[in-house]
Amino acid sequence: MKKFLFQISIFLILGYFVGEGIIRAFQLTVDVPKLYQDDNDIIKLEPNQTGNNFYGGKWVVTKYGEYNYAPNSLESLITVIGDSYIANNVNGGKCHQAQYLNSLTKGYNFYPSARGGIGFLEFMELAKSLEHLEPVKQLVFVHHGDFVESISEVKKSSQTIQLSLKESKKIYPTLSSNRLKETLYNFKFLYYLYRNYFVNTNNAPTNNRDDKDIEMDYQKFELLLNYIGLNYDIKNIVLIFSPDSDPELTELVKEYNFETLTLKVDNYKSWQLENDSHWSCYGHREAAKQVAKFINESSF
Amino acid sequence: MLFNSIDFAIFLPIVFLLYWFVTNRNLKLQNALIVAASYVFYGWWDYRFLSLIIFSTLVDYLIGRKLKTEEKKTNRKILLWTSIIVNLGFLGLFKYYNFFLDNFIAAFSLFGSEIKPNSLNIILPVGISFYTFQTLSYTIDVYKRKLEPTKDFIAFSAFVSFFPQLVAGPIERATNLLPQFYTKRQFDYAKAVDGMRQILWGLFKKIVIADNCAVYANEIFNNYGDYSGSTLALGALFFTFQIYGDFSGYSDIAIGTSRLFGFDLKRNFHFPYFSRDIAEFWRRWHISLSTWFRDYLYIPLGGSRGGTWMKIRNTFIIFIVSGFWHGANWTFIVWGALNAIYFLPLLLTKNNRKNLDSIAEGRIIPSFREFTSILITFGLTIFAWIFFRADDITHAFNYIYGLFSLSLFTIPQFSEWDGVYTSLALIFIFILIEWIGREGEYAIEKIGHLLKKPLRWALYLGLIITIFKFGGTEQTFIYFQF
Repeated sequence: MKKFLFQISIFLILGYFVGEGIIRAFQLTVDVPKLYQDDNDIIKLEPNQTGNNFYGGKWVVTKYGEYNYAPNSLESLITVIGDSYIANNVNGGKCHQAQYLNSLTKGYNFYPSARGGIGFLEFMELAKSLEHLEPVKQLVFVHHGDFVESISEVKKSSQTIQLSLKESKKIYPTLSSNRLKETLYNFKFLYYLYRNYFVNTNNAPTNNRDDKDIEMDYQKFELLLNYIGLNYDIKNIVLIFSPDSDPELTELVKEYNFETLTLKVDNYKSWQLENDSHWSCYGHREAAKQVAKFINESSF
Repeated sequence: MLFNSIDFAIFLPIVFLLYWFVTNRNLKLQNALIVAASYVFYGWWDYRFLSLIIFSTLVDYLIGRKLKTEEKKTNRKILLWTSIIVNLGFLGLFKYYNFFLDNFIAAFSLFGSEIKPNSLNIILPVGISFYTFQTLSYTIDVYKRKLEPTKDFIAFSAFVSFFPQLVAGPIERATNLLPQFYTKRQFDYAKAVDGMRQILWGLFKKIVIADNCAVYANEIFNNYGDYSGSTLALGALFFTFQIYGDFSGYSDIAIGTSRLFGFDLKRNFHFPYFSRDIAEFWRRWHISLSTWFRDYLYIPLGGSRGGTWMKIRNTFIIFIVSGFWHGANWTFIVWGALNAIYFLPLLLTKNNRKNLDSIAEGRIIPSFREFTSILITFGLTIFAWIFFRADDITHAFNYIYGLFSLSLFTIPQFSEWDGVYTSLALIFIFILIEWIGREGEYAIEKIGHLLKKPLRWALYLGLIITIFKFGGTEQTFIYFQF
């Protein structure tokens, strides 16, 4: 029996090292970027890091601490704010919205700021935090789901900043300690087994736009918009609504003095990836064409 | 609990360590641990159906005890039939009630009467066909005085519920397995290593071969109307390897696991796809069921003694009952009947026991004659599997109609070929390993022995990596539903 257990243990240890080698050589694990919470309690990405994403490509965090695209200069800046659609890890960091906008317009630099799973209130917080760069305009890519996710009484979320209407105050997400995660990431094979066989998760980005049972409570949206009007400077903000967004909400937002642009397409599916509702490169390009036209026709 | 699940990967070492380190000094305690572990294993799926196993165990134990003292022939027969009725009654109720009901309704409607009886929303208890046949074999053997009835209720419970083979066999005979619970098991290093090797091979068959083939077999069988004849042929081929990898993989894991605990189970598969005729195929496929039907049905019916009509009748009975055992569907009955039709010419011309020797013994390459025989038998088997896999008879015939069309001679159509190529390559490698290892109990038994340790371990690691790399989506074992 001792011999058996000894041999099994040796075999398992050997197997572990072989597994670790294979996982690292073929980059089979998904890497999670390092995050921190800034002085305003906004969760941010640590600059200059890279890793494998769920879709087989790589994500890159730029020197500015943003996903996948960095502007050449911070002059005549237009910010591009959003969630996983703008972070664009699904396309392996290629064909970024900011990159397309840069090529379709003249005289502007585009600065992306995005993180998957966040909502409208956090977009506004990001916009506020970028005001020191003196952007000429702030483009915020939204969908009605982002408004739903911003009100804790409508849909509780621990991933984004929410407004509690009852207490009229913001609730910030808390970032759990990274130490354990960091330790585990060093054991790639164990981490691979854990993600694939124990928790059976695939690290796919969360996507509020797939939720078909969204509760559209316009009264609560009005309270949110009222709160934002009182606490944020919205004169520089343009809300870019996704083609599948609720038109009634778009009209409501206009009543609260937001400048808006609603993207249009006959067949929205043609903008999306085959097995994922995120935009494909084609979708990003088509969206960018409409936004660029809006920018070129406006005098910022 | 599935063998190919994390739950089992945690469960097995715990039971193993408890078995050899905590309960190893006391035989009764060791058997009790097996019973407890088996009930946990089964109850993991649905604890309510444990009551069926416990009831069957009690009935057959008590009947066995009674048969020991009862000398009167009539009373002995009553006891035997009580066991048969109770066990087959459960099986009939849970597995066949709705089938018979639906067919009665259909038969009545042919004569213009419309009846609306209540059908039952019945869940089929996993493995009921397996443990029912196992307990029945005990009572029949005791009745025939081939086996001394046991006094040890714990040992008998362990025999009925032994977790490695509880839900999908091999169907063990009391004469083989029960006595193993009477004697203290000694840990045997070679046996345990062999068990681990067989488990590994079983996992490879299930996770790599069966689960990968399942993706394409399911897609093609479920949407057969959209595919050309050549794609349907490929679909049938994928199912042929899916069912083999799935079921023989399960048997390998069951036998290997049993060896870890010091038990020897009977072999259930003997490289059936290398058979040179259908009779040989049935000596090599699901051996524990074929021999069960041979001993408890075919021989009591008269077997191959008697006249031609008797032989034909018995052959059809055994194959049809064997088909029906698999499930309450006409497709299984037709599958059984089709195999009877394949088998009869061999029986009537007394060629059914022609191929008893090893295939291409001592040679790497089979003779042309052997190769042709293997291919023909394999083709017949693939064709029969279409009925086995189809949802109903109409589905099967439509599939066959689509298969034997002009499009059989076109290139198969798939939206993406990468996965198909990978699966075909894996099947090819699998056949190759099985062919090389066909003289062993299972394919890598001898290969494992022949290689030196570094190469042997490299082979095992290679298999493990293949399981991780090419493992299909976790699917339940097909034979759980039987």
